[in-house]
Amino acid sequence: MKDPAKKMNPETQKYLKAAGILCAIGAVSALLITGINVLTSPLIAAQKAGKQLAAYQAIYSNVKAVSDPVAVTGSTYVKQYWTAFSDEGKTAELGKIYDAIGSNGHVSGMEIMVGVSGNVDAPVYGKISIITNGTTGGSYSTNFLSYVSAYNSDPNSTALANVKCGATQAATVTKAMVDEAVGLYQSGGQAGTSIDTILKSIFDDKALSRTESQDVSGTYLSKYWIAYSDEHTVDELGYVYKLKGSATDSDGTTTAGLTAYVAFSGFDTAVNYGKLYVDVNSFATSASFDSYVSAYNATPSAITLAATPNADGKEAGTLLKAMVDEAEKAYVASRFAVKAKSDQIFASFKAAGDSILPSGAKLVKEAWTAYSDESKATELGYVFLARAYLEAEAEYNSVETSVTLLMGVSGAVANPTYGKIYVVAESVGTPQGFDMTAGVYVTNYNANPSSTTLESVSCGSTYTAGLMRDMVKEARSLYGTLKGGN
Amino acid sequence: MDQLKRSQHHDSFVTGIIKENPLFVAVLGTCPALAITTSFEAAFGMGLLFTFVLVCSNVLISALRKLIPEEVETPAYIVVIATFVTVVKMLCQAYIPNLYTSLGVFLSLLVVNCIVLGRAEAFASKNGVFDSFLDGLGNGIGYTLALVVISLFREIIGTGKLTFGNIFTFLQRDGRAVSLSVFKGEGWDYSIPLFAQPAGGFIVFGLIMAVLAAIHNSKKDKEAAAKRAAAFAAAQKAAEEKAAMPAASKTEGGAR
Repeated sequence: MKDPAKKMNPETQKYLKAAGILCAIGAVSALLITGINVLTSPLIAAQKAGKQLAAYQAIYSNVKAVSDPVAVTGSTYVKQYWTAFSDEGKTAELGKIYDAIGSNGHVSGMEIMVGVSGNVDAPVYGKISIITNGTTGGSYSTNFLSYVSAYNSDPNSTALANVKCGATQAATVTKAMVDEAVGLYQSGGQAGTSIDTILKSIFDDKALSRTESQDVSGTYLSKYWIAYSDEHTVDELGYVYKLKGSATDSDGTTTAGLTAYVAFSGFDTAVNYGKLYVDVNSFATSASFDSYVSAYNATPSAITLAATPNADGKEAGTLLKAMVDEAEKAYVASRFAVKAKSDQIFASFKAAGDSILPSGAKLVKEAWTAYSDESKATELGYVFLARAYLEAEAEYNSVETSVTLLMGVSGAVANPTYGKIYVVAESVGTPQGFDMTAGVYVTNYNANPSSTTLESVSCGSTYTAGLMRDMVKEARSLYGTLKGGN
Repeated sequence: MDQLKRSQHHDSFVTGIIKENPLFVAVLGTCPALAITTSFEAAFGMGLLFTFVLVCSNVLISALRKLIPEEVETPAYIVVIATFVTVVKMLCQAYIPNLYTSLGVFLSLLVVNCIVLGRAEAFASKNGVFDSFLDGLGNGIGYTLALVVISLFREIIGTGKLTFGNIFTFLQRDGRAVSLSVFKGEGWDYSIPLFAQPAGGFIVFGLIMAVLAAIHNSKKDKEAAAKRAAAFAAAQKAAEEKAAMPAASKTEGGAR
């Protein structure tokens, strides 16, 4: 048998030796580090536990006990939260403590705890306790500590937003963590689903575009969106309201939260209930509540909504019904708010008739009769709501246009009187803006509504003005149908 | 022979402290020097940890210098340095957590500190264990001194006071850090916060470098002046001797 070492190339031997020595150094290093880790890890863990306890006390000075941690999924920063109590028996709740970890380009593994308490609609910002200072050290660390100290002296959103402190990146990620914790507190503890996902679920994947969130006030309401079946916010699917509320759970002590979304469509006298999307539910799990939601979603209506669960799930079901009822009222009010703008068309407007969608309408989405008296005895004419989108055309119209108008038409069917235009919403991307171009067209037309002013579309936004002209023309053509049907 | 060895040991130790100070003379390791010198305690702590890493890595690399093949010198040195940095980091986190927090990422960055790797390649890999130990200790002390000097200026001018006990908690009195007010007191504040910011670090570093350069240049000028004076004196003496020569020759000639 030949000795393989004798046959080996000297170069190979050299590199094998080098590799062997390097591996040996690495192995010894690994052993040393493992040994030190065994020695230090209990101390580091104990320190962290001590910091955590100190953190609870720094946030709520009178904390006596905390609940078991509740893991949060789907959130960016917050990993878990506890409920803090001022008594050992865990009956007197002080608020929540959120544990969040965040990083960005300049900050690594920043871990904080922050308290949030009070009413979910007006949460009280609590103190921040730093578990791991993730700044790069030096003055960044010092400046970040000053930022947290300033915030802790009077915790509020303004102090939180004052991130330009000499450690802007660290403060910014901390603000994001606190904001998320507050959002979670408001939504009952769990991270919410994105609104686009919710809209797709509610409208069976038909929602292709939406408005930005609009503010709406109420006990359970804060925001709503309008969803559309096209990509240009023209063909409306309905309004979707975010519902948030809390109530005492079936055990009689725990406060549980519910975050849900509900859709409405249709006109004032024929409001269509849309589907529900329950996003966050911290009530005790209940099959009957889930069945209630499923039954409602199968045939959304006021009747299925009223069929709240009787036994388990009663608390969540009752809360959900109250929230949807409030949303329905808000929806009708929103619709009426648009109708109320009829006074911009007919100065003596006092009341509006029921909304209808005229057959054959393309640009017109809704129409109603305007009256000069509350008893709806004296008709002023018709108000049409039209909404349209104009695609960008490279040479002449390089910007997209979206316009929503109210227009009045009155008088004889054979020769209807041109009524005024009121711009409800517009998105005209000309550099000069709407007011300097299409707005001038509207002003000129409203000064003397006639076929001449209607056709004078050369205003700097000819395409947009042309679109509005087409809306008015369609309204006039539909007027006869409506009037004839009356 | 013993005298020569003693002189070599002395040089190994002393050179890194002042004559070839890694920060002020070699201008190495400036990044942590500017970042962590906002407080005296942090700078001193960084200096101690740095010295520990430098001494240990120098000693081990020197001990293994004949064993490590040339091809894998740098990777082997980095493994050794990284090991000691990791050890220091874990010990610091466990026993001096405030220092660990204060130094932040700059403690981990010692792995790529050019002074540590530089001394390993330039000295430890070519010299004996004891000399490498002294070299590491000397350079460590030199770097610590430099950090401490910068931090003293920055903390005192930047915050108006010198605080002890924030990092080394055993220095606290009644559970509180102790502050010596210099430019800041109750109702008065002459501190310049800029010096606690990164820009302040550059300013202090630049000023100290300028002062050291001025001292160095002044010393060089003095040495040059002394050399010129010595050369002038020698030339004068030679001229005097030359002038005295003919007279002596005449006398000698006359005598003949």
